[in-house]
Amino acid sequence: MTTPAPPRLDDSSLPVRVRGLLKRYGDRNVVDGIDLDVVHGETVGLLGPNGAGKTTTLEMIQGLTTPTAGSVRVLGLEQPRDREAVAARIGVALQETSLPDKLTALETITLFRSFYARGPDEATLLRDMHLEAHASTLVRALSGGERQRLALACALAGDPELVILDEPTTGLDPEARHRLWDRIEALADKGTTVLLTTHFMDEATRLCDRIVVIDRGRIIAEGAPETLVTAHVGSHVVELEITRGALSVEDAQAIVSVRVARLVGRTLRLGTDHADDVLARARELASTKEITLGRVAITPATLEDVFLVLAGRGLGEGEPR
Amino acid sequence: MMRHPLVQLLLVRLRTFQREPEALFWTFGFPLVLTLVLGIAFRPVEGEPIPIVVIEGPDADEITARLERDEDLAIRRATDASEARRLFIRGGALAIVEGSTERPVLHTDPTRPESRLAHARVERALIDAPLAIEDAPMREPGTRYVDFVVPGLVGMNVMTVCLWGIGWNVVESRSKKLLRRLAVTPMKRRHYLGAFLLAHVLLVLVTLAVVLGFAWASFGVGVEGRAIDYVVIVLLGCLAFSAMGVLLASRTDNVEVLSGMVNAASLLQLVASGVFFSTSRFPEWALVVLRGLPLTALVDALRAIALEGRGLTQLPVEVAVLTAWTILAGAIGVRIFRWS
Repeated sequence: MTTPAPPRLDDSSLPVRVRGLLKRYGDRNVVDGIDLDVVHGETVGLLGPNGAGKTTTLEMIQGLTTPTAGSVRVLGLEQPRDREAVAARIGVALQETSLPDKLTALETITLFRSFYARGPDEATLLRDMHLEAHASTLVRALSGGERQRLALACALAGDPELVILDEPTTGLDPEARHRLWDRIEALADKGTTVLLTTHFMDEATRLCDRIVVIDRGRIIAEGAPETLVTAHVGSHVVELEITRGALSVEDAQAIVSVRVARLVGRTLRLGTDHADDVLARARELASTKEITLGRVAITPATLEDVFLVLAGRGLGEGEPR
Repeated sequence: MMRHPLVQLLLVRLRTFQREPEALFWTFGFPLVLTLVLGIAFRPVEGEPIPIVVIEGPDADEITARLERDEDLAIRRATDASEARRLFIRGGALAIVEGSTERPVLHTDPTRPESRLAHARVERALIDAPLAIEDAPMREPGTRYVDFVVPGLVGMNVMTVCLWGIGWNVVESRSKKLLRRLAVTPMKRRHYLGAFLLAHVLLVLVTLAVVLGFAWASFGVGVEGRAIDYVVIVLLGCLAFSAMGVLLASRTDNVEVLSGMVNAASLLQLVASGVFFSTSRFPEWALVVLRGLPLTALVDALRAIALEGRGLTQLPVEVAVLTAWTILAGAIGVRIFRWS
């Protein structure tokens, strides 16, 4: 989708303003025409499967990669030309950050703090990330979650106006993910602008004010999490496992109140705002067509369903090659 | 001061090094072991007898008696030629004597200098009236192999510490995306590379003190010229090899590719620059090329200062070669350096 953003008076100083962004590697457009605005104080999530072009987009915003075409402005500065000036005002945590593993947490933070003219002191950074107890622990002895919080502390060392997080919780266990989410939410509550990528819909739903769904280098949907879900799927999803016989997607689509129907393996997923009605009609249809239903469930619709509807495959299924 | 990014980056280097016991051994221990082994293996031998075998025969007693007049010859008797040959092959004899006193037959290996020496000594002893020659041995420090090899080892150490230390750490940081992380901070890139240079200057100075101190204490190896000239040359070498390390590590994110490049660069120079043996066996045209190598320049300059007592001003070619490598390799390396 390339709907131009509504004009804003302070467009030029937006945390992120990207127009017509394109990156070609070989004969493939990894990023294929992206327009993106991030306003002050907003938490925006780029959601998409692995290989969708999220990380490349972030690299161009950070000034690490030069776009094939299009323009990137960060905090009113032009990337990659103003890379150094931008670097002083943003904080970054990369995917699977590897900090020097023979330094302690405190030494690592002191190192990163030394690069910035201003910012919180080391003790504050450690405390804000709940790492006080690990100040003198070597990085290699930290758990995955602690390491990611340390990476976040390093990202905040220069008191950044914009924080960029690439897949912040990939590889973490559920408890560690929740602790990191708490920290990111605390950041957003203080008014810091956050741009993150994720392929976890629960992460996107919980953290983001606005979600930009990316697939194959293009934006395929954009909006607040609930809006996206209700706009593309409906409030609920009716799941019907078919153990005998066949019910086509077209037949299911024809059921009154069904907004979208998808077949995933042997399970039909029907998006709707009237789940009970849909379930009752589906049972009638099954009995007339001599179809046996296995497990039946009604669940709230999620971003996973949005992606399934828009891209025709699940978030975890990656980029077809 | 402590909060300056250059200081912090230098601390990263020193802490990483200090927390890696293997690196400590290979940097400080290895050159010591090498000095010790080479010092012992090539120690000046004094009064070690030259083993000679005499094959049994009618004149064997007379031949033995004549040979025993030379105290440096150690005579053994062998019952037949095959036993004598066996002793010769195993290093138990440098010459075999048989036949009569009128027509003695002397077997030696003309390709081995020590066998040729044995030939001369046997020949002299067998002649009835040997000349009385006064012995004036040269044993003072400066002429021994260990004096020759220590500047070579110092140069080799500067090269390996800088090439491996910088190359390995840069490429590992790139492969683990630490470089990329640093590139999105306002860190000055010259601080990053400057910290590597400073750390390796410190390391090289410490190893220099350790190796020279050890060589002096165990073998009495000294420096004929001015110590400050020696140190200045070592620092110039450190700059040249650091620049070369940055160049080799400037693009790849694969430590195996780096290992190949560093091995090629350092082994070639180890062989060609005269670390262990004089390069005088190379033809003249090759020497011209070899003098352009940084290790040749470094080792030649160190030897000139340590063995001949020359000063910096007398070594313009070596200083120029090291400076040129620093500027060229450094400029190219920094220009093509990849941060991600």
